[in-house]
Amino acid sequence: MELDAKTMETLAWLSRLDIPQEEEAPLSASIAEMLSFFQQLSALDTAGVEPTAHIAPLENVLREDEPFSPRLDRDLLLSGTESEDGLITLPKVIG
Amino acid sequence: MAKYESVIGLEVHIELRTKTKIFCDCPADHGGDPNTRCCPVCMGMPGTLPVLNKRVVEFAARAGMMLNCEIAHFSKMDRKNYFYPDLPKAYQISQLDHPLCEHGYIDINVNGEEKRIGITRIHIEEDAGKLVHTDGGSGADCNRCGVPLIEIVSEPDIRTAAQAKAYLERLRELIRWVGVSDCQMETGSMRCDVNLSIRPVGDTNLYTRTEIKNLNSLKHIAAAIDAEKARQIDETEAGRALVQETRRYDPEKDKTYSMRVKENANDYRYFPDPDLVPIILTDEDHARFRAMIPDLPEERLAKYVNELKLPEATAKSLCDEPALANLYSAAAEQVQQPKLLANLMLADADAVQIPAEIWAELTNLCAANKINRSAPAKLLEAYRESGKDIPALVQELGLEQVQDTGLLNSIADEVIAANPKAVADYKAGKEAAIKALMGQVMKRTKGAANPQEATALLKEKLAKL
Ligand SMILES: [Zn+2]
Repeated sequence: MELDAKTMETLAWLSRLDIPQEEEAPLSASIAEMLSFFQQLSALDTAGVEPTAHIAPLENVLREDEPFSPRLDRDLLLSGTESEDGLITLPKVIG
Repeated sequence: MAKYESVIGLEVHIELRTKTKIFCDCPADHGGDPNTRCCPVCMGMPGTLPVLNKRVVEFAARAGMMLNCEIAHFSKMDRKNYFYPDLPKAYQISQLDHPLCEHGYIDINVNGEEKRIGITRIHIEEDAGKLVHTDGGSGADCNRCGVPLIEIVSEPDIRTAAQAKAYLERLRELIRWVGVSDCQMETGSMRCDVNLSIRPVGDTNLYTRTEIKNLNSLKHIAAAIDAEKARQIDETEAGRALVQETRRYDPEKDKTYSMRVKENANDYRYFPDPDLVPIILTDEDHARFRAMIPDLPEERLAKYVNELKLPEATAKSLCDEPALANLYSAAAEQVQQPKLLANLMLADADAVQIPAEIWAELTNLCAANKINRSAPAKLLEAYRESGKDIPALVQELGLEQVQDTGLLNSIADEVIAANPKAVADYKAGKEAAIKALMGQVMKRTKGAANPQEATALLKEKLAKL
């Protein structure tokens, strides 16, 4: 399955990736190869088969609307990220 | 005759008033210091798993039933992928092709004209966090991440700003009435996006539409609709093609502006969330939710006025607050004097905190003249403090009304003997003089006499003089 330049550009934008020009062709080729694995699925006749929403034979995994776990300390929650005054630091975002 | 008409569809987000968030047990209410009401699940940390809150399903289904929707038997959650700094997982858990509710409608009335507005769908999803902009940059607060929302999508049935306003007001009334949200635009628990296109009057096609986002009051929504309609007409008349895009409304300039969202940004690549399994609702579940759906607010009002004989203003005050109306209805079944009950409840600023049985008990004691009309306030205060039962508090506070006619008899005699001037005035035809005598009776019984009984007794005695 071939990927045209426009599709590659869209994919890169959606993934927020800046792809250097020299990498475009090899990347495009490996994505096409990955897609070809999935294309094997289209050999199957799925006419009349109900779409599957989940592979596990489970339904209605629900919890009661009750607080249960003790609250984690904010310093601990934010320890893996840069923060200031309890806010997670971000680059300037234009609102 | 206007040449163009607007074709408007509204997307309304409403926060559900659950105790905890949709996929974790963090508190779902507003407030708290930044990032103190979140956890690894709602912050999207690796290795965590969401578990759906049962009450979110119930609340959303009840909202759907209130809006005449069909409720799904099979529903599922999907991931909507996009990057934004207020969305730590880089996807929002929402619903794509199997929403919980579909095909509803609400009826509105604008200037006496009835109109039915279709509701395409209602789905459940999680809210995003909040960005705080400071001089140094921007910061993210995840307290709101994972707060449960329903998104109510209307059909493009709305034609004018007045209809949009009527639709939103009725929607708010019904959702508040069914008790699943407070729907406050000021605090953001109800938000609205407007989709609008124009077409020549008489044409039935749909043309390029724009979406106006982040509107936070009914007034701005109505103004934005008029401003955007005018802009689209100007563009069309000038021969310029309209672009499908997201716009924002500036109330100061009364104009809409393109938000210049990059093309293709709306490619959300939805797929079923593998962390969450399907929601199956049986006919029994539907029946259980159906049993919780109240009558319509106007039906309730009519019942209060026609059957319970409440003055209209009193009935309206009760119905303004759905929780109060429901409490009143529960208590009213247990009393003989529904009007007295309503007056007692409306005199209390925090009536909803008192159980229906207590309201009924107080009303019945008053109605039977066992306590006087000023006693309930004292009893409620004592009840709130001690939680003791009402008969015990009546005893403890000495609030039993004097029913001992022997005692009342002798007090009346004393009062008549001690107030010859008032007695003479009364006998001379000054009816109002009896009030002075009544005052004395009430004083001597410390307010415990039944006023009607005491007045009758005094009149009887005075007539014999
Ligand atoms: Zn959480």
